[in-house]
Amino acid sequence: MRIQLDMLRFSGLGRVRKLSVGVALAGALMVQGALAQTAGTDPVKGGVLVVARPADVVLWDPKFTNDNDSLWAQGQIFATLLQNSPDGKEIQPWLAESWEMSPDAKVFTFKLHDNAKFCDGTPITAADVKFSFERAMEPDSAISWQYPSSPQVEAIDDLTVKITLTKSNVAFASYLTIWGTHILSKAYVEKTGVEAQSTAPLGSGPFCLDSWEKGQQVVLKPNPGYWVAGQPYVDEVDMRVVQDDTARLLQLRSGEVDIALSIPLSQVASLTGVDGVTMGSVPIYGTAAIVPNVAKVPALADVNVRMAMSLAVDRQAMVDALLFGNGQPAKSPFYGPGILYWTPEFAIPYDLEKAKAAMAASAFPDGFAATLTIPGGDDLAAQTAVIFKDQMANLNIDVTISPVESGTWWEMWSGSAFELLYKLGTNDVIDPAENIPFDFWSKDEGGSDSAFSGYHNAEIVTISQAAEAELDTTKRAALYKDLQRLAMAESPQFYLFHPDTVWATRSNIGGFSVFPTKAHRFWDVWKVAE
Amino acid sequence: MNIITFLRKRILQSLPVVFGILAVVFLVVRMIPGDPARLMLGIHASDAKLSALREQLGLDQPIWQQFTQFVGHAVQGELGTSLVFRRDVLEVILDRLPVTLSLVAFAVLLSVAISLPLAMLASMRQGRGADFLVRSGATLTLAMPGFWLGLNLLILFAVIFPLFPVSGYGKGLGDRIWHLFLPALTIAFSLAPILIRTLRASLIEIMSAPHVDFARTKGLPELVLIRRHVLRNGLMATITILGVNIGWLIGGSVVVETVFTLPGIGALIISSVTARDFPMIQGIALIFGGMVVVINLVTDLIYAALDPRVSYD
Repeated sequence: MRIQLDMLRFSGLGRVRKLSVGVALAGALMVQGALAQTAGTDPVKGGVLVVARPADVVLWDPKFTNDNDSLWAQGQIFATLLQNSPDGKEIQPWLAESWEMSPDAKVFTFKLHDNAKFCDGTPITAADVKFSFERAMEPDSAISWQYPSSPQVEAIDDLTVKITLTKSNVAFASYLTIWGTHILSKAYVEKTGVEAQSTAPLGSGPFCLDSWEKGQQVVLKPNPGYWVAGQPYVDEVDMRVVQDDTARLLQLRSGEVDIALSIPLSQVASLTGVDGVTMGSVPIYGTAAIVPNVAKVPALADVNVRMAMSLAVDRQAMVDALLFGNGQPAKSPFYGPGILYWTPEFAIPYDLEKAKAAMAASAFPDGFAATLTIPGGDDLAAQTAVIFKDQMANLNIDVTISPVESGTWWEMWSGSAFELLYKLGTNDVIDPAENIPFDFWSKDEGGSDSAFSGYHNAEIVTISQAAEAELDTTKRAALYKDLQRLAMAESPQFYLFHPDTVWATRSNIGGFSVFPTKAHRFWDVWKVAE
Repeated sequence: MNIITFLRKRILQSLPVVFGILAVVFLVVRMIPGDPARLMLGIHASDAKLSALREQLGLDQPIWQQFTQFVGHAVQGELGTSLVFRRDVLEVILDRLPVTLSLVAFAVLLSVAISLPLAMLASMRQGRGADFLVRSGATLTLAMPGFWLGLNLLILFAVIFPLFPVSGYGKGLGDRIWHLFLPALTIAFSLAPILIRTLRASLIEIMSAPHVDFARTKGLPELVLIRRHVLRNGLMATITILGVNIGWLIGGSVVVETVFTLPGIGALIISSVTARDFPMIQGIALIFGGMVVVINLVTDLIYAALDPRVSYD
């Protein structure tokens, strides 16, 4: 999970909504002459794709990466064994041309493409995969959490990789699609050293890093050794840093850039209906939530109080007011409707009467006071906190909002030194198993004391452990349904909403969309001359 | 005392200053809450992994031991590796230094360009309406905080009247000047009032000096008189003020770079503090501290060179 601190940077396949404005308006605007070219459905080769992003790459070494703008850029130049299908619903082979999982979900075997090459023309082998994974699991790695169940990696021959887990984990494969499992060249890393990987990486995926003008622009060129014939479609990708939201939109409207990422939700309306601009949006795998510290505040340990608070939150009002309608109320502890096995069945409605009744039935009928810690400088957090405070006043709960510097906020959260805490956490894979240990397990069980809140429900832990090892999807679905039912009945967190991520392209750009993880790819994007 | 002895003495005097800066920064970043290991490894990291990383980074050692190690390395020119960028600290700083230096230089130029004519006008019209306007205007701008002024300039000249870019650094000299104009103007607005007041006071003093009276009785036109006899002398005070304030300006760039999202050292220090990138914060403090010391030294040298009455004692 990554934690999203700055909503201003918020942009993000469960369900892709696309408004093909250029096409829709074509008939109506015919009389006006000059019409924007549209991309069509058949990819074309050539052209330079210009992308405006809000921030630059910090570094290119996946091992030390935990910022979005770096890892999305890395995704263009590094291959992973598997990849998500374009609709985000299933996992497909990528660098591995085929793969299989043993019946006990402990042993995974991958066969690599024999024509895959790094950007220097050397072949990608099983030894590189083993090297990359072992490097990523080292103690100082920021991405070792992407290797659950302690995998042992073996290079059986040049093109065969075998991964053995210490315990069954059906969700393991989904990790092999994300940045923690990027494939680096063993020879290159050993020759050039650690620091070189931060600025001069050797690509293994569809693109190679051609140049990096720090703070300004990254230029990518196709990797001649990319194993998928005909891709990438474009001759070059220029990823420009355009920090200012307005400037990104203006550059897109003027045609200076082809794709603008991270469109602020407040500006979606102003872009809708602009000739030559196509917009897309998708709810992210991410939830804004408030964590009650049940170990610290006696009132929050009372399940009636937590249910009362949850019932008193008007989630739809938050979506309308804070996200301008671009989002969804949270209905499950899972990180969004796109997540596998997600169900809205146990959603907690906004019902003030029931809330008051639950409060009256609690040990704290007269209310109490609590401090809500939020990361300072985060507009979405601040606005959410104000609405939450207002709604809690209905239950005579006096919430004091305390914005703290983000490093301090991390410290307070991970040290359980808060009463109520706002967070926007994301799921990086489609499988719910990623965050369940974090959200529900104690430290002894390998979790984080349920997001450092001290909440514990042994039944939920047992169910989730069984689900991790369950190969039968029907049985797994039943287990996860049970888990959601139990969790929603106890409100271990106040799940609030899932914001959309919104992007915009020129209408002559085809094949582009942002995944619900907010990752995106440029190798199957094409550009029709305007 | 000759210039070499003077330099040696001044450099020796500045060593405790730089050391003091380092010691304070080193202690302060470790006193604020926030764990670099947690920020590096993320929210999923177990306690065991966190303590292993702390050990690897040397963060588990006593603070005096960490400090002596840091000073030992710094003396050899090694500032360490950034925890965020995973590159040599000095290299990252040098990447961004040109942005901050050009911003500060541009700001100094602009503030001199604003101050000189206004101070001259005020001193020539001492006690009259123009003088009052300049002085009260200066007091007013001095009272405006940089971030507030910067945001207002942005709203006015980049959003309502889109004459300048909202953010960024640009490419090529012309483009960069265009990009840096508003941020430099923001800093200039905070420096100019100080310059105007000093320059005005010294101009008024010089204007009543005997040599000026004499030149005036010779029948020199007022503007020539000001340029030849008054301004040159008046600039002495201005240079001192500039020298003292450049250090403060470099500090001020932190706010302005953040408002205008310029990729300079100011913005870097903010992101480094947020990420608790200790080596980077220490490195920047050392470089900033060193720059202020050097600029003050250069100011002293210029001062002595301009005014024969100033000796190196």
